[in-house]
Amino acid sequence: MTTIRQELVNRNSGWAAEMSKGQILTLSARTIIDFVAFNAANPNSAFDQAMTKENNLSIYLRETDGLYSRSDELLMTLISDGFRGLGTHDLQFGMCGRARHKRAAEEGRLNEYLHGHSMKLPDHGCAENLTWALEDWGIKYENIPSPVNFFQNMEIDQDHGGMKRTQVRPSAPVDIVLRAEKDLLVAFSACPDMASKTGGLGVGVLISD
Amino acid sequence: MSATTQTTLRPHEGWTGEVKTGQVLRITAKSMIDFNCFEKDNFKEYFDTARTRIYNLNMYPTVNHRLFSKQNNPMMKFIKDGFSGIGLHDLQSSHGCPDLMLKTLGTVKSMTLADLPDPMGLFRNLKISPSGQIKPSPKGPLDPVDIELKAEIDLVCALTNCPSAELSASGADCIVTIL
Repeated sequence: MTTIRQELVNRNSGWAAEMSKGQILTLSARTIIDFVAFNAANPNSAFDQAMTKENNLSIYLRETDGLYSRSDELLMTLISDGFRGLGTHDLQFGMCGRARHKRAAEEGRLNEYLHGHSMKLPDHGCAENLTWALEDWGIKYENIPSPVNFFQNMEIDQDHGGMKRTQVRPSAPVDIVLRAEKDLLVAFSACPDMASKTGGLGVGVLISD
Repeated sequence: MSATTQTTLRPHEGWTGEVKTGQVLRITAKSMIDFNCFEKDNFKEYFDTARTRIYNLNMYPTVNHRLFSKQNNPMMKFIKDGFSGIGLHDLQSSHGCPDLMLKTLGTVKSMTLADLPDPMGLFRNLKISPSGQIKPSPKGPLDPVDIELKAEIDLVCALTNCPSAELSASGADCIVTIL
């Protein structure tokens, strides 16, 4: 295995990089990661939650599942999931961010997050982190798809549809390992994770051959 | 409230129209309908399934839920659900008839599949297991029922009458009314 790129991304920050087909992306974390991917040759072909759920016939992203674009291209495969058996990765939510936080505060709904009404709202979130990270590639917010929310373990009532945030996270960082099935642009945000006791942590990232 | 326009869609037909703030879009149907909406003067502000799920903290859209845009602004409110108690509408799936939706929207705004936001799938009724497995479970009402959505901003709405392959024998006309 050859290390192409390795770094630590700080809490509530974004990251983006290009990958070649066959390369491996390893994310090491115990905090929510909002992750997206684009076909490098055609960034309009971006990760899509709906097509991914349809192809995998699952509302969760699991080990061996593919990440698909809206045009049904296989972009990546989740080849190893360190969260398996501990919790599930989410494909329901979008990105947190200023607009979401502001509305939750205005409507008195901050109690949906762990730290509730007493918490200090971050001045930005995943929407801003991903927008800033993808600026160099000219991808605007409205073209950033709703992400895979790694480690966002949700409590879901599948009969009535109700969803609740949980605090289920790994007690120590675990690895999420993804293989690029095409040349890609990948990006993620290390979420401020206001639902958890940690309030968000850094994410280790490694691209290898 | 009186109807300002009314259109009948046969299976595999699409419709697009402007719905102004405060107007109600009534969809009277019993087979699957895929629905999208956009801010009238800015198609970059589009109905977004993830933002809608977050706001409502629910996977299945129904009465009193609001449809939200990518920019986290309210677009419509679900005010009547004739499918309630019979089955569930869907926010998990992609378009059943994407080419038809693109053709329908193309009369207003040219788009590619990459630009086409994921829809609200009325009457799609997926079954989801405790482990998260998705199973299509088509189940339409016996007779057409009303779905009513009230516009919170000026919109362009689009829908396709798109019966699933399993229910192709049950595909039926859909009536679209703006009140």
